[in-house]
Amino acid sequence: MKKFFSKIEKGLFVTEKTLLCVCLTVMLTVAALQVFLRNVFDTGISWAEVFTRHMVLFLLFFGASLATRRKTHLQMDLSHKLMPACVKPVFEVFIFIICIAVNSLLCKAAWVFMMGERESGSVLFYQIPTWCFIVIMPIGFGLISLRFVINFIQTIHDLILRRKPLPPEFSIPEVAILCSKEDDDS
Amino acid sequence: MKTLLITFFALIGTPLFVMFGGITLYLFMHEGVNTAVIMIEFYRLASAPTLSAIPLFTFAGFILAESGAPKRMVDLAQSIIGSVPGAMPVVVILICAFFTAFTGASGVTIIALGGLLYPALLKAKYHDRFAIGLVTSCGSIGLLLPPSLPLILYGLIGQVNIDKLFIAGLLPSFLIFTLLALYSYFVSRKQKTERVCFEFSYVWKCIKEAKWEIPLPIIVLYGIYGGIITPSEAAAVTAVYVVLVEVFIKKEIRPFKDVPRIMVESITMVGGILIILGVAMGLTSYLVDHEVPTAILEWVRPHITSQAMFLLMLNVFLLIVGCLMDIFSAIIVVVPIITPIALQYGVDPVHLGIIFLTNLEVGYLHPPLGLNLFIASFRFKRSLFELYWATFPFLIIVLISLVVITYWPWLSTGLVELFAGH
Repeated sequence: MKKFFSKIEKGLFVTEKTLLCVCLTVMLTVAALQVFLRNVFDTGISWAEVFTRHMVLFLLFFGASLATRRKTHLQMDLSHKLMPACVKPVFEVFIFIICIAVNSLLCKAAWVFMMGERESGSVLFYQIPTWCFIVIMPIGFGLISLRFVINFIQTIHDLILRRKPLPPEFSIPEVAILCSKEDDDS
Repeated sequence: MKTLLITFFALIGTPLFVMFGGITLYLFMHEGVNTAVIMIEFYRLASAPTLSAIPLFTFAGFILAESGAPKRMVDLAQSIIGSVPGAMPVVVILICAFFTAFTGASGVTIIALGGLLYPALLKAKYHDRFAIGLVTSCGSIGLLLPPSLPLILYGLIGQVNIDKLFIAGLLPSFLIFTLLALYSYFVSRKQKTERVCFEFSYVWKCIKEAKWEIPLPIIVLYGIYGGIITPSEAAAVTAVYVVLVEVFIKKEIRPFKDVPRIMVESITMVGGILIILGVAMGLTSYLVDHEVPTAILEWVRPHITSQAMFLLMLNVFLLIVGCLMDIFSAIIVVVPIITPIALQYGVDPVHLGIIFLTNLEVGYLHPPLGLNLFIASFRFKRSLFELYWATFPFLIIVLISLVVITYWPWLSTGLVELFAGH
């Protein structure tokens, strides 16, 4: 069971990381090419602006999902500064339940929005319909919900096994970045 | 009851985007509005012209911070001004400002550069307490300089022209630099620190070492101020340039091992910020539709009668916010509500932005909960109490600057008007 979960988690992690890198590289290439063409050859790619902005939407969701994995979402600072490490997992269970509920509802809202756009038949550029880009919104919120479910199961698992939780500083994004080198190699 | 519940969940550490999402969902469902409206507002993000500058500049900043660029720039700055008393702290201030402006997050500066700058200060015979205090405080020094992420975010949310904000931050930053440099000068006289001799051959060597990094600020600043390219285009050019230099010319960042990791790190941070922004768009539009800022204004108007008093209250309020939240969340939450109120009191939106960011900069250092204190305590393995003492003089200096910046609007708007006159 545990192996199964960690396999799914690993697969998800690698896929998200890969897609994130591809999106950023494509976005960077298009944006730089546009500047080059516009300033040197006085032409340009008509869809470059729109495209890069929509790529940011993709990056946003992959980044947010990875932040969920690392448990580094921005929050009121009080909790990780004042709360003792041993109490944190108990509260975390509550928090994760709320997160799963809210994100599922947001995912549903995004789904309705996407279907609406699909029916309206709006086109972003050339023949590409807008909903092809908006599709990342329900997928993104879905991914984040899934991540919260995984976090929830992990925390319960750690609570039962009485495993020591990470110190609360680790929910400060910058601190997590410092420690991420080992995290990614594992 | 509802407010209590919300406060409870916020305090136990529910992610802010979930808080906003939950509240917005509740409000819309309560009114019987289709929740897809939240997503329509969220999608408005994709029409913000400067949006793409945020991930690109951050990525470039992270690459720079991981490469050997900081060391080369410290060497260069030290070789040029190292013979002046109190020069090493100035070098620290300048380098920190440069990297905070690029990475947008002050914690990254402390974590990435602390290991380089702190020993360098000790080597120049500065006392340990001063060194720790300086490095911790400098983590938030570059917030007002282009192309800092909080500035871009403020412009995006407060609907203020980013070019103007980039100009407005120059003089206030200069003020903070000057005060810090003066203080460092006195400290260096007292602590009998060491200086390096000025040698032209060494300067030349350092220039040659750093020749690829020197054009960087010029590209960014000339591009933006010269009006040749937009901020998001400048971000793309910077990112490509940095990758070319650090990966292919200097070969300090491995293309297949390090670049993807840095991409993931920087975008994880950016994603965490932007998702709050996206979800909060729905909440903000709800609050504005229901004229909440007007209601707050009606409520405060009898108590706050003058602009000076408003500014004072604003400072106090933002200092509290700065202790409770990180800078990005604070901008996303507070700016849409404060801006209309500030306009009523005749505060220029550009000036408001600079006050806002300087306040949050102070919040980073403010005991007991300033974020920089926590990060430095983790980074340098010191107790928080030691850091309160070490950063105290710097906190006073930044507070003095804050007062000057708040009550002397010209400092923020003077250059903007001058440039507009051209």
